[in-house]
Amino acid sequence: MGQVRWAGWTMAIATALVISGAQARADVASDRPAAIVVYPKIVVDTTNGVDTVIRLTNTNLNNLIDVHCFFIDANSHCTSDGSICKDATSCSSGGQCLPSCVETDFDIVLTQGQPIEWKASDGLANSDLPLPYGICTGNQFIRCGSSDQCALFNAGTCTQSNVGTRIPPVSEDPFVGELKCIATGADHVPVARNDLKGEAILESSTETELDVASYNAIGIQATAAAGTPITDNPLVLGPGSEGNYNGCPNVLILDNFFDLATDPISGDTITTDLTLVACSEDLLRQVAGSATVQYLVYNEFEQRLSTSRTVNCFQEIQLCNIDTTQCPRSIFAAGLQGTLTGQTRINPVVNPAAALPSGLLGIAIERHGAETSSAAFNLHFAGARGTADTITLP
Amino acid sequence: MLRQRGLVGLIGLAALVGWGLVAQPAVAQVTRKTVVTTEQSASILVFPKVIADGSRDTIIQITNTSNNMQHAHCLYVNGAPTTPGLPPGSLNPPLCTEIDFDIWLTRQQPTHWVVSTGRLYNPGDSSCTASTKCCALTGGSCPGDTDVSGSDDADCCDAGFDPGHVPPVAPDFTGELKCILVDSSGAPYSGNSLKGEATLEDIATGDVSKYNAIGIQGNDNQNGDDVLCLGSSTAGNDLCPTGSEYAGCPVEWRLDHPATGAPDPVVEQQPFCASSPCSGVSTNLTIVPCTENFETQALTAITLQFLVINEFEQSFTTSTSFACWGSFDLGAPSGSPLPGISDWFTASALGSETLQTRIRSAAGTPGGVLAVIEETHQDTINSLTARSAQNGHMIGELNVMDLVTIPIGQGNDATPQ
Repeated sequence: MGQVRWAGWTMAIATALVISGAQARADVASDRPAAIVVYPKIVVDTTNGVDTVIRLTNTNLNNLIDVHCFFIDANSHCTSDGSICKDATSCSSGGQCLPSCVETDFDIVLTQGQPIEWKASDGLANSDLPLPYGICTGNQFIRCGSSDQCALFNAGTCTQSNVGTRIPPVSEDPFVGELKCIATGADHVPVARNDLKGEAILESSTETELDVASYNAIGIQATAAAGTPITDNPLVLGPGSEGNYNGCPNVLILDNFFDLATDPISGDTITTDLTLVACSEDLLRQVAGSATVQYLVYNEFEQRLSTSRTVNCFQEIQLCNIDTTQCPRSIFAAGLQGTLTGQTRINPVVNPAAALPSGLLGIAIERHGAETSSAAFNLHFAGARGTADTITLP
Repeated sequence: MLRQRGLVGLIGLAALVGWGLVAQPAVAQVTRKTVVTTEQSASILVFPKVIADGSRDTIIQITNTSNNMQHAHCLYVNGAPTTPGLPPGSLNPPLCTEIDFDIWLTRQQPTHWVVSTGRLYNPGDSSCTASTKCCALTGGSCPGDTDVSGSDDADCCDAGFDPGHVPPVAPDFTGELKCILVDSSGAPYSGNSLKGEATLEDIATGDVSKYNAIGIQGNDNQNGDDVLCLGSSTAGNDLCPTGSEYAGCPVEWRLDHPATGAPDPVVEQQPFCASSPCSGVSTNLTIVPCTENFETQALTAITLQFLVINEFEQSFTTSTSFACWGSFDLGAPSGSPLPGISDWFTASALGSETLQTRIRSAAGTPGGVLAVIEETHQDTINSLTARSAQNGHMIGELNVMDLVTIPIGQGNDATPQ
């Protein structure tokens, strides 16, 4: 009888927790400064005038901040010759086109309140840095990187500067992938400082076309008191606000025009590209986060259709290619849905077979017309994942 | 048997506690965390920048993210200058007239409309097919076989459950759209189930830019009256007897943007750019007050304080004021169509190409503000222009109460239709 009573209490509490838990919320946000900023889509193709301008700002007006960043190269490559490919048809000699997820990391030092920007194709280093060196306060003719150098000349302390910063260009051209930046201390240990914000401006410039689309980097806030070193490796995101950082959202919500819808103003055809990146990443062992994504698609008649597809590391895909290669037959096609707009709820489901199950973050890019005019925007979030995500640093 | 009944009751109680349907002594002390946000569902949606002036038009998208039917009371605020054609300013203030309408959305329903044309209530609209095309009359004349947005022949353009009758805006409209979640009686409530986006479209070039509506989440203090109380204070007063009903507006906005006149680094690296500069970038700031009295239409001047920080750690300050709706081309010279506020936003004055700008309403100013920015990139060699809108970053929550007053007859005392 005692066991029955315990079972009853256990069930009752479990039920309450489960139902309450459904109302928990994530504080991953693209409209507030954070300790980790994620740029889901960085794209470079200089041959065709495509590049990304990356902005990163230290919003703290009192202290400089060290930042450790990772470019994740998500290009696919041919097994035959290693060239960059989109699918097997672009590989010679019958090679396969395999996706990759390779990281390159670097450091940035931002002085108090400092905004910087750079082109992904070029990077930023040396004299191109806004403050490439400091000056000794006791003798402005002495350049310095640290106060120790000033001390040699009894010349006071060294002013803040970007010394220590060398931002490389992306590893390939063309390039598509992600950028992730983590606030750290001078010792490269991650630190709970929610002081970073960023934006990415995706540009295409030719003699006949200029297209600009921008989105806010997605911020993941640290949960510990400001300035607390985070010595754990891997970094733990969630669940909810229980980890080193807030957890990734349970559902991403996209309001979209259905693909092949006509723009009700211009009459142009509209398509939408969805970019999703994994919250979990093992950058040490190069293990990509993975999720099976359930898509619930609602049209303006309240009718619901659904599909699913797996995401590994990074996925950039036109909506109508999620479920088929024949766009007019897609559940994301306006002709099939019968209305111009829809709501797509994107729910990453843990795949037990995955090496590194993961939540997702993402952005969308809406394209109007053949002469591309595009607009990028951030997805909405709902709920908190029940399991933690992890980022393992090299 | 008694024990079993008790067990069932316990499980049921636990479920109800989880749903928040019964008193929760331990949980009741925890106030629901609410925020002003651009990426979570909310109870008030604010679209600060809505344009339908003949050169640009706007598509509004609003979605019900809940599994219940939702109603919203929406208000357009016309921020166009009183005397069209003259620069806005203290001698040519914005009209600040409002028109309102109601929409309702079934569970999870998305909807949309074109601002210049609105959307008729017409259940007979045919669904889209692979061959149907849409067109808005703002773009000129539509081909004969094309569905026309907002008209009796809208069909595919307006297919779906109509959200109600959305009126077109006045000609040369530049202003704000605000939608407030209400119940079926018209009383405001805190369901936090609306999200929205605005797509600004250049009619001549087809260039588009898009931003998320700013959402203001409601809390459990909602009393359903016509005065909406936004703030962090739980203390009641005459207008807000239950304290704040919605999240408070941010203390500060933080915007990263290019200095006006700075070159576009991507255009500059193109082969056609033989000698710099071949390009220029500028930033437009659109800002609306959190406090709005739609009953009295009383304009309240708000002073904005700007702190501008360049790449060299140098900071500069400036200020301006606006009422009802403000749109500024940051750093634009005097005589420009829109005010420029100050030279401190220009690359030539700052010697820097990237800025962090912090905006707050000045001390003594009644309430906070909401903002969105839009960058304009120009390729001066090929005479090409592209825009991109961005949501700003927000810091803190004002502890003063902002009030949004719904006119008598539009809220919970609305006459049944």
